[in-house]
Amino acid sequence: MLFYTIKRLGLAALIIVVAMTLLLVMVHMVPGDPARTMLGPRATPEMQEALRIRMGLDKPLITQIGLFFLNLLRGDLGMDVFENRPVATIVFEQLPYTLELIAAAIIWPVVLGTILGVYSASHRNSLIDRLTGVLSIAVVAAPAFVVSLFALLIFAVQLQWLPAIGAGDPDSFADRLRYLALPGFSIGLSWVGYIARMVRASMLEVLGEPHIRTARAFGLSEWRIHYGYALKLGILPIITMLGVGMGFLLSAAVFTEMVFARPGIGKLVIDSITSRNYPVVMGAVLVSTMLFVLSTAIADLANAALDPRVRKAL
Amino acid sequence: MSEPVLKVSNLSIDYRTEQGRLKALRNIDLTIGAGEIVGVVGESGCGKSTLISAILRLMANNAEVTGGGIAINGRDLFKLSARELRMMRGAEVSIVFQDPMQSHNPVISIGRQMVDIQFRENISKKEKLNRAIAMLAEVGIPEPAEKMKQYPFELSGGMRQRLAIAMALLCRPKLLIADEPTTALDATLEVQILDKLKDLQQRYGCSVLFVSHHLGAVARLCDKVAVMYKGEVVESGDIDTVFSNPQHPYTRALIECDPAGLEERTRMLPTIPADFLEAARS
Repeated sequence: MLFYTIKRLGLAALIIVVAMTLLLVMVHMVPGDPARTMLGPRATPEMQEALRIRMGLDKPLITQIGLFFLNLLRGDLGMDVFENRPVATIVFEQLPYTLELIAAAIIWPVVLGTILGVYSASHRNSLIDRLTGVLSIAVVAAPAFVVSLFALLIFAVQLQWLPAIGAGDPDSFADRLRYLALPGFSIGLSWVGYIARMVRASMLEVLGEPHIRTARAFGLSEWRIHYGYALKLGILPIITMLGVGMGFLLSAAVFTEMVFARPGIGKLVIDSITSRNYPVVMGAVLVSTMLFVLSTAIADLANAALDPRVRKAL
Repeated sequence: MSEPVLKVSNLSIDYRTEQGRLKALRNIDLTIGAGEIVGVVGESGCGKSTLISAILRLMANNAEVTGGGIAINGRDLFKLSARELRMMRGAEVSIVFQDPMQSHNPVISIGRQMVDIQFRENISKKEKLNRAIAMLAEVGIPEPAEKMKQYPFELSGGMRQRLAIAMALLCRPKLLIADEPTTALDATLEVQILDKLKDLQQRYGCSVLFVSHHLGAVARLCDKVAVMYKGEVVESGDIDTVFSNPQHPYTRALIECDPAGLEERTRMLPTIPADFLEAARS
């Protein structure tokens, strides 16, 4: 298991290197000179040349890539062009906001979706099963930013129960939670439906397996059979799905941060693209790539930890 | 004579299908006394599995009891509440299923599964674990204590079937149902498992309902036998009487089909046609 963990994290690092190299090559191949775009039409060629040297754009592509990773190892993501602050500092200032948004958007759907899914599977064709079936299709079909807008209109504008924009007082946990409620609800809503459907299908498959009949033949309670014996197997595909789902969650976070004017990685990317602040764009994209790759690695490791068959095969 | 452990009387079960009703069992009578080993033989599809699932009340959703009843230790099975039924399963009647490769949960350790099925006992978890280890030793699994932390897939087929027998005996049932326990195993293992089963049956004094389509296995193990054909018991009685002097034409045909009884080499093994009884009558 330890060897597998090291191997899997090594693979994650490799994926990040490949992804970032591709990104650097892409930025290089896009027509137009970053220095010229950043400085605007009125800059002199000398000023452009100076910025190019400062950003290392005068060096050959292969050197640029090498330098990027060398600096990355030292935790140096370069300097912000406008404010002259380290990009790493800027990105890590914004990161907690996105992390707490993702946590708020995934924890409650996992809990609620799993309960609804298991209940639907064990009470097939009951009222709750049918309602979950219909509602989950409805919420899966609704994009997060549309839900965000309606949630804003209803809960912030009409009812005025929850704040509309911002992230709240950073020192007060309760206040931050209040500000997370609407965006967390908006992103998470479609996940409830998605997870409920997946858990239901997965559970129905497991409940049809012969070992469940064995458990019944020994008189184990239905509660233990469903939530103990069957769920332990039924949850495995959901974990893999959540790992990959982090990618969607990150892109949903970009929209939602814009709609709710929350600080965060998504908003940082959009803002720095608009102002052509390339080092910040690169830094923010690097961190979101890391988040995505890391979450798939964690999903794989969790699967190995929960499934002895996978562990044995390593 | 004391109360029979299992008394199936006049039991009929239908399956509701889209093509209409399918009569799976018709007027089945079967009695198992304390300490008896009774074999049920018959070809695939004759209703053996339906009978077993009825005795545990684990029938398919489309099964319907149309008549008769089952009594376990004198209690009417179909009148038990869900809770009483749970208390009965495993403790009074337990079962060894046919396919040992699929009959245990793959992600729960052997120890945990064996402790969980002792939920009725008022003893500590440590004691339950010790009982489980002792039972594994009893069925002949080497290094039983180490097995507690392992998972079923780490055992071979023969060992898994021994595990299934150990689990079935763990709660000291009055009746052990063995549903073709050796069909998925090879011939050498089959003999080992059958001998172990007989040995344990004598020591624990439980009754056994042994279901098989292997006549040799039934002859080796059982005191009495019931021959099933197309949902009916066509013949039953002491094993020696039935096998040496079969009365029913189907029983005779079944015995003739046992490859162990063939005396000369043949390219074509004897078979029983699907419309056997109709053909025999005409």
